[in-house]
Amino acid sequence: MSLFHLIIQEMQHRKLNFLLGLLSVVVAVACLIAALTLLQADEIQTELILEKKSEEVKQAGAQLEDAMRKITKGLGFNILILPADEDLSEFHLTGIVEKSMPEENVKKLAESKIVTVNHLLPMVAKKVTWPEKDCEVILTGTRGEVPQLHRALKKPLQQQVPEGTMVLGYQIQKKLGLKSGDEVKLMGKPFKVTLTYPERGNADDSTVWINLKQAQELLGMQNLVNAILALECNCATEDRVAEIRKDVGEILPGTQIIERGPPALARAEARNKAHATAVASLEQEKANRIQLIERHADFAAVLVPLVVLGCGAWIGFLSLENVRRRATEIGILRAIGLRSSQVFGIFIIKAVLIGLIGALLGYFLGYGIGVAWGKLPEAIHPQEVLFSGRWLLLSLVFAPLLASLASWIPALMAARQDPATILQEG
Amino acid sequence: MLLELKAITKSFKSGSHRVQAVDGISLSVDAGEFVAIQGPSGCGKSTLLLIVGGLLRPDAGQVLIEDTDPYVLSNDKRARFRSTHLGFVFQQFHLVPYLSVLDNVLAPALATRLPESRRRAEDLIEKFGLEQRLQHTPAELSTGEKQRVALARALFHSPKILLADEPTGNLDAENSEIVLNVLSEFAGNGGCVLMVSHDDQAVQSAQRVLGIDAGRLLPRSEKEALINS
Repeated sequence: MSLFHLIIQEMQHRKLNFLLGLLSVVVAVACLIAALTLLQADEIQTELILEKKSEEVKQAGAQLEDAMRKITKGLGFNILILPADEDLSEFHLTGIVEKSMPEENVKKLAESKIVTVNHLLPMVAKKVTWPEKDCEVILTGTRGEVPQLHRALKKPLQQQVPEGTMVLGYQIQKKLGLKSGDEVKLMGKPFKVTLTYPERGNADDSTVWINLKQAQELLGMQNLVNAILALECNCATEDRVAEIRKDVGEILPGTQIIERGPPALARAEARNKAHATAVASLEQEKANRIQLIERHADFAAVLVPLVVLGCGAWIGFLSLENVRRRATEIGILRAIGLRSSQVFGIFIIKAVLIGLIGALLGYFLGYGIGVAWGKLPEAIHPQEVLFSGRWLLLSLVFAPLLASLASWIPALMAARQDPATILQEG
Repeated sequence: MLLELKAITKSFKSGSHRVQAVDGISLSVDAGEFVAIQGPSGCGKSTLLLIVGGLLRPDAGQVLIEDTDPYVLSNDKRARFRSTHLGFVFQQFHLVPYLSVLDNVLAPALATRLPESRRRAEDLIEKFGLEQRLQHTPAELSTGEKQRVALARALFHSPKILLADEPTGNLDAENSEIVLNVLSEFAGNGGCVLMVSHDDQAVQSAQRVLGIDAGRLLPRSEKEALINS
């Protein structure tokens, strides 16, 4: 006969009390373990999603590059229409058009029935010193696209720069420390910076774009333009530049035509933009997942302590009820010589046993819930990756500890009961 | 002297006034004596028994068992003292409901490790004719069987003194006789029995019968008047 035997016999006798106590521990441990397992499943799922997304971005980038190569091969190209007297070799060396031609040329071209050129953009461009900033820039004036009258209206490829506004290339904005919304003066005229471009790695980085009319005034080139840019030109023949030269030459005799902006550059820009979009989407997904995990963690941080406290209180109540029901038994055990520490031990050992059994059952219940609701793909063997020996061990340590803490006061009350009072009443 | 009570008093608070349950009782009992204390309900019999059993500290006076006052001992030492010197039998039996007959008899072994304890328990159970009920729980026993189990439990650790509180109160004549024979036999073997009862038949088995009323032991003439009334 031992105390342990007595405790086991009592647990078998008062099954309901034992089962209710056990249920409390199982619920508390299962709740905690399910929360932890689900959070772990969330993290694993996030890693998997991000890994998959990253792979998709890589593949999509490669596909996009290939598609762009094929598409741009068949699509239009950009040309620059230059004044008849422009020295092309000088232009190729400096990138600046020295000569000019009447702005009227744009109108002529727009009113013609030419089909090989599209999206006409008249422009002036000169290398000047920005006096207020003491800085050399390429000042470019542009008025946006000139509509071609015999065509259906097309969506413009490039927006015009409104009067009083300014767009800056990368090096200029970096050098002068300017940003969108800043107000500056250029050659005495006020401008508001509306846009700054990212680095392009060409002359655009050192360019300041303003409205064409204002640029003509500042540069003393009223009704003159340096060049007409035509975007997305189409040609049926292989020698596309020659074909366009022929067509444009009939309308603007003597003007010179060169191709501008090789397709490779456009492809690279498109690819970079697609890549940047994909990376942004990847980051967004990551942020969303982190937010989801944090929401789950916050919910668990509230729910789990509440459940554990509730179950602890319930175990305490059950222990108290158990002590009350066993008052006569405690009295007789004390009368036959059991020490108060032994009576205390009877209740604490029982709580520890309930805690141990409850922890074991609760762990596997919580783990099962975590595996079922974690929705991890079978391929990664969720049963294995979500099983944690450490949590099982911690459950086996802390559940008996909490159960015995919850039973501490009832056990003390039992140990301090006066056997004489009980036996007199009994 | 095995048991000696010196001017024991004990009172309880009942509402606004105090009730004198035991009022200056002195008594000496030798080894081999079977003493019965007889009196009406509420006269202080059970209180006196709990005081002798080291379970209820008296307000004044001294209890000496083999010259040891159990109330000078610490709680744990007093518990140990009870487990080696005293055996209890109650009217309500007070068996542990979920333990078998064997485990109930073995229960005092929780307090004191006795050699061959299981063998001794089985011998006692056989002596009380309960060998067929070894694994039965109290709920499966008759009242007479329950009291026999309680007796076996009280005798299990060979106490010096057996304290019996109305041990035949719930029993029929046949079982009462069995219980009283066991108490007489225990006294005959050198033990000391202190039994409180209001049952005339039960006290006939005792060698000495004392009357008690209002917490005081009565002189012989008063006792006889009390019994006759």
